[in-house]
Amino acid sequence: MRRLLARRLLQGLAVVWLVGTLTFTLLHLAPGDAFSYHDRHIPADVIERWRHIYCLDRPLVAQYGCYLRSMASGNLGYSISQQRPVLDILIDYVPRTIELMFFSLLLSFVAGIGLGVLEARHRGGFPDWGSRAIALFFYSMPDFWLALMLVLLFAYWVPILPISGMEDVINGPSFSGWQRLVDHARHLVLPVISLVLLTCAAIARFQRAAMLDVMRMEFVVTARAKGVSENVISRHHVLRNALLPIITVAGLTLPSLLGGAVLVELVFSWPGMGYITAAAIGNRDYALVMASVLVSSVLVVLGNVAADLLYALADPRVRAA
Amino acid sequence: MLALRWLSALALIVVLSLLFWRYAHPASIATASRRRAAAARYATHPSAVIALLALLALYVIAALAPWLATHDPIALLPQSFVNHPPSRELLFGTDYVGRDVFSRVLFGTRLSLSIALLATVLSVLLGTAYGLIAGFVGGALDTAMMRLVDAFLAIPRIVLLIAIGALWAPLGVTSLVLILGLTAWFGTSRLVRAEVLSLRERDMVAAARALGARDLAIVRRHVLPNVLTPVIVSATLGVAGVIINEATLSFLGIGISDPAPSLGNIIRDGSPFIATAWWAALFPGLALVITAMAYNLAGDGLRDAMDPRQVDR
Amino acid sequence: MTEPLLSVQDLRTYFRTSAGVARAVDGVSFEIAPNESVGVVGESGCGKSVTSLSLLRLIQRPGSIEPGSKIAFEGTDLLALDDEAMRKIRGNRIAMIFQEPMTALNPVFTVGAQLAEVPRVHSSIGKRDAWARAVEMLGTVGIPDPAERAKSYPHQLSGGMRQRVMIGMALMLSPSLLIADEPTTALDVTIQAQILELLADLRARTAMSVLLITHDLGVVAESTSRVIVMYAGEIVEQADVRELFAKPHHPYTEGLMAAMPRAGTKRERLTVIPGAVPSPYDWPAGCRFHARCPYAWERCEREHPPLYQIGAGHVSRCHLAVEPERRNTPHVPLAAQIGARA
Repeated sequence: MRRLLARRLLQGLAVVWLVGTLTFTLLHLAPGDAFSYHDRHIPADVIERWRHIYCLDRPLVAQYGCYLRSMASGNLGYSISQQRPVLDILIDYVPRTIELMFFSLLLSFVAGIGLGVLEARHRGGFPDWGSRAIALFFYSMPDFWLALMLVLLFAYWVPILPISGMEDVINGPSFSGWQRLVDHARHLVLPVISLVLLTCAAIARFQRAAMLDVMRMEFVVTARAKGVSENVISRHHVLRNALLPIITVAGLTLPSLLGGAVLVELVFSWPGMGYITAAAIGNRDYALVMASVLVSSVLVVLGNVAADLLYALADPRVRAA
Repeated sequence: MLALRWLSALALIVVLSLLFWRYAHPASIATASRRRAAAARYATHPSAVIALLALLALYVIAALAPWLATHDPIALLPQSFVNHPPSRELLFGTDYVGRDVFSRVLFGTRLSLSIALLATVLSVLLGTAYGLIAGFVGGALDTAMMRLVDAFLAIPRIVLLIAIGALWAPLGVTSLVLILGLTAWFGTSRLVRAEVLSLRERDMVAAARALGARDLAIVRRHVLPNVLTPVIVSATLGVAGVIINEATLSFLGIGISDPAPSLGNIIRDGSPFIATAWWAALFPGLALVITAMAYNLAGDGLRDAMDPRQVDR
Repeated sequence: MTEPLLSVQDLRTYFRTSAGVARAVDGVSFEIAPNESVGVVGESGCGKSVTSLSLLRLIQRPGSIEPGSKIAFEGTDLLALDDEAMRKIRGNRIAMIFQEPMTALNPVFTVGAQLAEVPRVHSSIGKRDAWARAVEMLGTVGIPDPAERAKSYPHQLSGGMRQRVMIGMALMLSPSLLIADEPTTALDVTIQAQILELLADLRARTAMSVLLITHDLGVVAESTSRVIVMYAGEIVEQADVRELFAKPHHPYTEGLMAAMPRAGTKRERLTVIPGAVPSPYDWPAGCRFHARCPYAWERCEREHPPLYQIGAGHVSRCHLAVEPERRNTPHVPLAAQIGARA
């Protein structure tokens, strides 16, 4: 168990190092460097000093070493658009993205698993193909467009939910702690719904397949022969087994969920990583964009490690090993 | 610019017709009957058949865009037609500078379909070659190559695209195709490698080896035909993803840029006015969803048809 | 004779698929008396497992029990019950155990929980009481240190232990009929004997009846009093176990016995019945065994034999009952001729 964790973490570290190397390569293939595009009123000698601090005035190999060293020490560069270290910016914004992702993942799983179970139980019937058709519809939708349509629906046609930011800017300051929490939750609703609609289709698909696989197994016949009702069989016996592969799927959906979060944050002005990344594009803020690539891959790797651990905990056969 | 686009379209037609020719004239009778059976199975999925018809219709519409368009997609209508709601004349209304959204969606679909197809062809070729090399050479090279793929897969695709797009912006059509293709092959390479590994264990390859067949001959004769099926399925599903990614880039302003219409940048133009002129963002999005859905359904149908073991999974 | 515990009449279980109708069980009738042990033997594909699943109405789509079939158990018509009433009989009055306990037990629950579930679904017993009864039952079926073992998962037990768990699970509510579908096939020979002994012992103690499904005549000889031989979805012979082994009538039964390895006989290799079980989608006309039969004559291809009465409680579905002299002129079966040419 502990060895599994250690091995997974080591593998994850290797992946992160590769991603770091990749971003380094990309940066160097690109025209110009992090300080080529900036506000005109920064003196040339200041820029030279920055170049020196980030080793940009040294040979490529030295630059690579310098890059890795600074990454490892948490120095992710200096954001020219926000005029402060990238790490500070990330500390401010990443938790908000994680918050968004956490609720989305949670709800996606509840909804996806529920749908998958429903589809498998009514396989071939109306609930099955109806739910799959709707799922495919959302699955085929660009994240940003779905978010826009929700804005249209809720902001202008049924104005019951806030469509931007994460708190009420006008009345917010006067809110009590409790009111503030409710307000925050209300701001979360639409971004989370967008991400859930996009993600739960994929999860439902896996869940359905897993349920159908498990339903073919012999212990299901045993349970029937014991007199267990069909409801209890699918909720208890089958689901418990079919949930195991879904834990792995959680890890696999992370990249697309994170990618979706970038766009959804942008549309709803949710001040998270995706929002600042999108803002950084226009400013040619290389350091910030590259840091967000690195950080998102770290999040994905950590998520996968967590999924592996969860799997090991949930499956008695692996737990014992 | 225009010449390049025609050239790439021509290249595509050549690639596709070669593919179809190989497919229509298979090497043996056994493969021919297997393919007929697969086609018959495909035809039993109504949704897959509808998807195929929808795709055909989309390509016809894209090809006929210049004749179907009611207006010049780039020309500005008079000031009084800015953000004009849909009407008999202007089917999908006009955008914030007074361009006909219907005509822009037609041309945008045309551009999106071409870019997605070209990028997918590129990614399939790359992924297949990469997977073949990794699977066939094996050993340390295989491990290294696959770790690299792991790293690429750990980065959310769209974040990677944004990063690349941000570094090289603004992108032309050619570089957009290149970038979309270069970031879409990771899954295919894994698929091909897995297939190669399982084939390597099988008798026919071992027998061919024993008979002294060269690696290249083995790949061509035994591996490629077997790999073709999963690759075609994943490519079909992949087109849907590439279309969405292209639209996303254009939406973010690092893909196709104004005034050329792409589905993504039409939505981008419409998004600030979503409250008052919803049509400019709604219709191009619907076109996107229909296209992506058709590809997804066709891909699902193909998978079920080509691999009967996986039916209903 | 006392009132039978179970009476099956003209049971037909068909599977309607796109490939046609598979008549897996095609008109089977038999009875089981209280505290009786009956064996059903036949090759795989003869319909014996489908028969046992039909008794509990565990046939899933596309299979179905055809109208006209009758299964009476303890005086109730099982086929007339609604799903809920049928569920209350399963695991309670009729229990079943399966061939491969590894796959028949749920891998993610402890064995104790799986045993305790039986009383829990059939009565309002509390969690703790159910667990206590599960532990007690594990002791009854011969599992050492049952309190500890109850907390184990199936993969932590040996094959013999798992089968004991299965048996314990089946007996939780003292059913009056236990259906055992190949309970020893997946086990080592020594463990096999232990399990059969356990079953016999439990039957003696609890006065339940056992329907033992197997392909192994040796198992039948050891632990049943009456034998039903099935072939191609039908019963082809039925007799008291001693009678059957002493005077087998149906050529198929003869073939099965010849294929049995016997201690003390020096035979180079086992005699195998030539050919294969025909397809349930298309049973042969006439006698379904005729292509593999060394005595088959023209009548066997034409006329489907009824169950002839051979002796007291002994029936056989073979025309030899009316033309016994044919037994003197065996020939090479049709299937073997074709097989030799191929």
